[in-house]
Amino acid sequence: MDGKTNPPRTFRQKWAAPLLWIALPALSVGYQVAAKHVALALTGVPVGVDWVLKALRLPWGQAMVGLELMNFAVWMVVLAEIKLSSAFSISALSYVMVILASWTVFHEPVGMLEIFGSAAIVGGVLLIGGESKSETPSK
Amino acid sequence: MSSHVLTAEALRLIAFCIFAEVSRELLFKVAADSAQDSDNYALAVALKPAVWLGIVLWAVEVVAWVVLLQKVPLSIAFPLVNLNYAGVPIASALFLKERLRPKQMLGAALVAVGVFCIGLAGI
Repeated sequence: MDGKTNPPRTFRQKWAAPLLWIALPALSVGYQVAAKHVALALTGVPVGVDWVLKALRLPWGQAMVGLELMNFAVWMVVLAEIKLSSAFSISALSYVMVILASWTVFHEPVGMLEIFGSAAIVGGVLLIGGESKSETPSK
Repeated sequence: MSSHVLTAEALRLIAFCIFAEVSRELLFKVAADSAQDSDNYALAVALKPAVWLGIVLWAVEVVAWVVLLQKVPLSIAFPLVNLNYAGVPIASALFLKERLRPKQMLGAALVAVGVFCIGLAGI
Protein backbone atom coordinates (compact mmCIF):
# COMPACT_ATOMS: atom_id res chain seq x y z
CA MET A 1 0.00 0.00 0.00
CA ASP A 2 2.97 2.29 -0.37
CA GLY A 3 5.84 2.66 -2.82
CA LYS A 4 8.02 -0.06 -1.31
CA THR A 5 6.58 -2.91 -3.37
CA ASN A 6 6.91 -3.51 -7.07
CA PRO A 7 4.12 -1.78 -8.97
CA PRO A 8 1.21 -4.14 -9.78
CA ARG A 9 1.92 -5.87 -13.07
CA THR A 10 -1.55 -7.00 -14.02
CA PHE A 11 -5.13 -5.87 -13.70
CA ARG A 12 -5.75 -8.65 -11.20
CA GLN A 13 -2.80 -7.70 -9.00
CA LYS A 14 -3.97 -4.11 -9.01
CA TRP A 15 -7.53 -4.94 -7.96
CA ALA A 16 -7.06 -7.87 -5.55
CA ALA A 17 -6.60 -5.66 -2.46
CA PRO A 18 -9.48 -3.21 -3.14
CA LEU A 19 -11.73 -6.19 -3.91
CA LEU A 20 -10.79 -7.84 -0.61
CA TRP A 21 -11.00 -4.72 1.54
CA ILE A 22 -14.02 -3.00 -0.03
CA ALA A 23 -15.98 -5.14 -2.50
CA LEU A 24 -16.23 -8.31 -0.37
CA PRO A 25 -17.52 -6.54 2.78
CA ALA A 26 -19.97 -4.55 0.63
CA LEU A 27 -21.26 -7.73 -1.06
CA SER A 28 -21.60 -9.42 2.34
CA VAL A 29 -23.64 -6.53 3.70
CA GLY A 30 -25.87 -6.65 0.62
CA TYR A 31 -26.27 -10.40 1.06
CA GLN A 32 -27.22 -10.09 4.75
CA VAL A 33 -29.68 -7.26 4.04
CA ALA A 34 -31.30 -9.45 1.37
CA ALA A 35 -31.29 -12.41 3.77
CA LYS A 36 -33.00 -10.31 6.42
CA HIS A 37 -35.75 -9.35 3.96
CA VAL A 38 -36.18 -12.99 2.92
CA ALA A 39 -36.34 -14.10 6.55
CA LEU A 40 -38.95 -11.43 7.35
CA ALA A 41 -41.01 -12.39 4.28
CA LEU A 42 -40.94 -16.11 5.11
CA THR A 43 -41.60 -15.84 8.86
CA GLY A 44 -43.53 -18.92 9.96
CA VAL A 45 -42.73 -21.02 6.88
CA PRO A 46 -41.00 -24.24 8.05
CA VAL A 47 -37.46 -24.66 6.71
CA GLY A 48 -37.29 -27.23 3.92
CA VAL A 49 -37.50 -27.61 0.17
CA ASP A 50 -40.70 -25.57 0.10
CA TRP A 51 -38.97 -22.74 2.01
CA VAL A 52 -36.13 -22.69 -0.52
CA LEU A 53 -38.53 -22.64 -3.49
CA LYS A 54 -40.53 -19.81 -1.91
CA ALA A 55 -37.32 -17.89 -1.17
CA LEU A 56 -36.13 -18.25 -4.78
CA ARG A 57 -39.37 -16.70 -6.00
CA LEU A 58 -38.76 -13.54 -3.95
CA PRO A 59 -36.71 -10.76 -5.61
CA TRP A 60 -34.66 -10.57 -2.39
CA GLY A 61 -34.04 -14.32 -2.62
CA GLN A 62 -32.81 -13.96 -6.19
CA ALA A 63 -30.63 -11.07 -5.02
CA MET A 64 -29.11 -13.39 -2.40
CA VAL A 65 -28.15 -15.94 -5.05
CA GLY A 66 -26.72 -13.24 -7.34
CA LEU A 67 -24.72 -11.63 -4.54
CA GLU A 68 -23.33 -14.99 -3.41
CA LEU A 69 -22.20 -15.78 -6.97
CA MET A 70 -20.54 -12.36 -7.23
CA ASN A 71 -18.93 -12.91 -3.84
CA PHE A 72 -17.51 -16.22 -5.07
CA ALA A 73 -16.15 -14.68 -8.28
CA VAL A 74 -14.49 -11.84 -6.37
CA TRP A 75 -13.09 -14.27 -3.78
CA MET A 76 -11.45 -16.40 -6.48
CA VAL A 77 -9.77 -13.29 -7.94
CA VAL A 78 -8.52 -12.32 -4.46
CA LEU A 79 -7.20 -15.85 -3.81
CA ALA A 80 -5.10 -15.76 -6.99
CA GLU A 81 -3.08 -12.90 -5.53
CA ILE A 82 -3.23 -13.02 -1.73
CA LYS A 83 -2.35 -15.65 0.85
CA LEU A 84 -5.39 -17.59 2.10
CA SER A 85 -4.50 -16.99 5.76
CA SER A 86 -4.38 -13.21 5.24
CA ALA A 87 -7.35 -12.98 2.89
CA PHE A 88 -9.65 -15.14 5.03
CA SER A 89 -8.91 -13.17 8.19
CA ILE A 90 -9.34 -9.84 6.39
CA SER A 91 -12.68 -11.06 5.02
CA ALA A 92 -13.92 -10.95 8.65
CA LEU A 93 -14.30 -7.20 8.09
CA SER A 94 -17.68 -8.15 6.65
CA TYR A 95 -18.88 -8.97 10.20
CA VAL A 96 -18.06 -5.43 11.28
CA MET A 97 -19.85 -4.01 8.24
CA VAL A 98 -22.92 -6.19 8.82
CA ILE A 99 -23.11 -5.04 12.46
CA LEU A 100 -22.80 -1.41 11.32
CA ALA A 101 -25.56 -2.02 8.75
CA SER A 102 -27.87 -3.76 11.24
CA TRP A 103 -27.37 -0.81 13.58
CA THR A 104 -27.87 1.95 11.01
CA VAL A 105 -30.36 0.39 8.54
CA PHE A 106 -32.42 -1.91 10.75
CA HIS A 107 -31.89 -0.03 14.04
CA GLU A 108 -31.01 -3.25 15.82
CA PRO A 109 -29.33 -2.86 19.22
CA VAL A 110 -25.57 -3.42 19.36
CA GLY A 111 -24.16 -4.95 22.55
CA MET A 112 -20.78 -4.81 24.24
CA LEU A 113 -19.70 -8.20 22.79
CA GLU A 114 -20.35 -6.96 19.26
CA ILE A 115 -18.44 -3.75 19.91
CA PHE A 116 -15.53 -5.64 21.50
CA GLY A 117 -15.54 -8.25 18.73
CA SER A 118 -15.65 -5.60 16.00
CA ALA A 119 -12.74 -3.73 17.59
CA ALA A 120 -10.71 -6.97 17.79
CA ILE A 121 -11.44 -7.72 14.11
CA VAL A 122 -10.49 -4.22 12.96
CA GLY A 123 -7.32 -4.31 15.06
CA GLY A 124 -6.41 -7.77 13.81
CA VAL A 125 -7.08 -6.91 10.18
CA LEU A 126 -4.92 -3.80 10.45
CA LEU A 127 -2.08 -5.91 11.90
CA ILE A 128 -2.36 -8.36 9.00
CA GLY A 129 -2.91 -5.79 6.26
CA GLY A 130 -0.24 -3.38 7.33
CA GLU A 131 2.35 -6.11 6.85
CA SER A 132 1.00 -7.74 3.70
CA LYS A 133 3.08 -5.90 1.11
CA SER A 134 5.15 -8.81 -0.10
CA GLU A 135 2.54 -11.52 -0.07
CA THR A 136 1.96 -11.72 -3.79
CA PRO A 137 3.60 -14.99 -4.81
CA SER A 138 6.85 -14.17 -6.56
CA LYS A 139 6.39 -16.76 -9.30
CA MET B 1 -34.93 -25.03 23.83
CA SER B 2 -33.02 -26.57 26.72
CA SER B 3 -29.56 -25.41 27.76
CA HIS B 4 -27.93 -28.84 27.29
CA VAL B 5 -28.29 -28.86 23.54
CA LEU B 6 -24.78 -29.85 22.52
CA THR B 7 -25.41 -33.53 21.94
CA ALA B 8 -22.76 -35.75 20.36
CA GLU B 9 -24.62 -35.48 17.08
CA ALA B 10 -24.66 -31.67 17.26
CA LEU B 11 -20.94 -31.60 18.03
CA ARG B 12 -20.27 -33.88 15.06
CA LEU B 13 -22.28 -31.57 12.81
CA ILE B 14 -20.37 -28.52 14.10
CA ALA B 15 -17.05 -30.29 13.55
CA PHE B 16 -18.18 -31.26 10.05
CA CYS B 17 -19.18 -27.66 9.21
CA ILE B 18 -15.77 -26.38 10.32
CA PHE B 19 -13.98 -29.17 8.44
CA ALA B 20 -16.02 -28.51 5.29
CA GLU B 21 -15.40 -24.76 5.39
CA VAL B 22 -11.65 -25.07 6.01
CA SER B 23 -11.30 -27.75 3.30
CA ARG B 24 -13.32 -25.69 0.84
CA GLU B 25 -11.10 -22.65 1.34
CA LEU B 26 -7.96 -24.75 0.90
CA LEU B 27 -9.40 -26.24 -2.31
CA PHE B 28 -10.33 -22.80 -3.67
CA LYS B 29 -6.86 -21.49 -2.88
CA VAL B 30 -5.19 -24.47 -4.58
CA ALA B 31 -7.39 -23.94 -7.66
CA ALA B 32 -6.69 -20.19 -7.71
CA ASP B 33 -2.94 -20.74 -7.44
CA SER B 34 -2.84 -23.36 -10.17
CA ALA B 35 -4.95 -21.22 -12.54
CA GLN B 36 -3.02 -18.06 -11.72
CA ASP B 37 -0.80 -17.93 -14.79
CA SER B 38 -3.48 -18.81 -17.35
CA ASP B 39 -4.47 -16.33 -20.03
CA ASN B 40 -8.13 -16.85 -19.22
CA TYR B 41 -8.21 -17.07 -15.45
CA ALA B 42 -11.98 -17.52 -15.08
CA LEU B 43 -12.06 -20.39 -17.57
CA ALA B 44 -8.98 -22.00 -16.04
CA VAL B 45 -10.55 -21.87 -12.54
CA ALA B 46 -13.83 -23.31 -13.86
CA LEU B 47 -11.91 -26.30 -15.26
CA LYS B 48 -10.18 -27.12 -11.95
CA PRO B 49 -11.66 -30.17 -10.19
CA ALA B 50 -10.61 -28.63 -6.85
CA VAL B 51 -13.10 -25.78 -7.38
CA TRP B 52 -15.95 -28.19 -8.06
CA LEU B 53 -15.04 -30.32 -5.06
CA GLY B 54 -15.10 -27.13 -3.00
CA ILE B 55 -18.51 -26.18 -4.38
CA VAL B 56 -19.89 -29.63 -3.54
CA LEU B 57 -18.53 -29.26 0.00
CA TRP B 58 -20.19 -25.86 0.13
CA ALA B 59 -23.58 -27.36 -0.74
CA VAL B 60 -23.18 -30.18 1.78
CA GLU B 61 -22.13 -27.67 4.42
CA VAL B 62 -25.26 -25.57 3.85
CA VAL B 63 -27.43 -28.66 4.42
CA ALA B 64 -25.41 -29.64 7.51
CA TRP B 65 -25.74 -26.10 8.84
CA VAL B 66 -29.53 -26.07 8.43
CA VAL B 67 -29.82 -29.51 10.09
CA LEU B 68 -27.59 -28.23 12.90
CA LEU B 69 -29.76 -25.15 13.42
CA GLN B 70 -32.78 -27.39 13.84
CA LYS B 71 -31.04 -28.98 16.85
CA VAL B 72 -28.99 -26.16 18.35
CA PRO B 73 -29.80 -22.45 18.83
CA LEU B 74 -27.93 -20.08 16.54
CA SER B 75 -26.41 -18.37 19.59
CA ILE B 76 -24.46 -21.56 20.34
CA ALA B 77 -23.82 -22.85 16.82
CA PHE B 78 -22.64 -19.53 15.33
CA PRO B 79 -19.65 -18.82 17.65
CA LEU B 80 -18.51 -22.45 17.34
CA VAL B 81 -18.54 -22.62 13.53
CA ASN B 82 -16.77 -19.26 13.57
CA LEU B 83 -13.76 -21.20 14.84
CA ASN B 84 -12.97 -21.58 11.13
CA TYR B 85 -11.36 -18.14 11.43
CA ALA B 86 -8.75 -19.89 13.56
CA GLY B 87 -8.84 -23.07 11.47
CA VAL B 88 -8.21 -21.53 8.05
CA PRO B 89 -4.99 -19.67 8.96
CA ILE B 90 -3.69 -22.74 10.84
CA ALA B 91 -4.57 -25.04 7.93
CA SER B 92 -2.96 -22.57 5.49
CA ALA B 93 0.26 -22.77 7.46
CA LEU B 94 0.13 -26.58 7.74
CA PHE B 95 -0.99 -27.57 4.25
CA LEU B 96 -0.14 -24.62 2.00
CA LYS B 97 3.08 -23.71 3.83
CA GLU B 98 1.97 -20.10 4.07
CA ARG B 99 4.09 -18.07 6.44
CA LEU B 100 2.71 -15.12 8.37
CA ARG B 101 4.93 -12.68 10.21
CA PRO B 102 4.50 -12.72 14.02
CA LYS B 103 2.57 -9.46 13.80
CA GLN B 104 0.22 -11.00 11.22
CA MET B 105 -0.26 -14.12 13.38
CA LEU B 106 -1.30 -11.87 16.25
CA GLY B 107 -3.67 -10.15 13.83
CA ALA B 108 -5.21 -13.45 12.70
CA ALA B 109 -5.64 -14.50 16.35
CA LEU B 110 -7.32 -11.17 17.17
CA VAL B 111 -9.70 -11.66 14.23
CA ALA B 112 -10.57 -15.17 15.44
CA VAL B 113 -11.29 -13.82 18.95
CA GLY B 114 -13.37 -10.98 17.52
CA VAL B 115 -15.43 -13.24 15.29
CA PHE B 116 -15.99 -15.66 18.18
CA CYS B 117 -17.24 -12.78 20.37
CA ILE B 118 -19.62 -11.61 17.67
CA GLY B 119 -20.87 -15.18 17.41
CA LEU B 120 -21.41 -15.25 21.19
CA ALA B 121 -23.47 -12.09 20.90
CA GLY B 122 -25.85 -14.11 18.69
CA ILE B 123 -25.87 -11.83 15.68
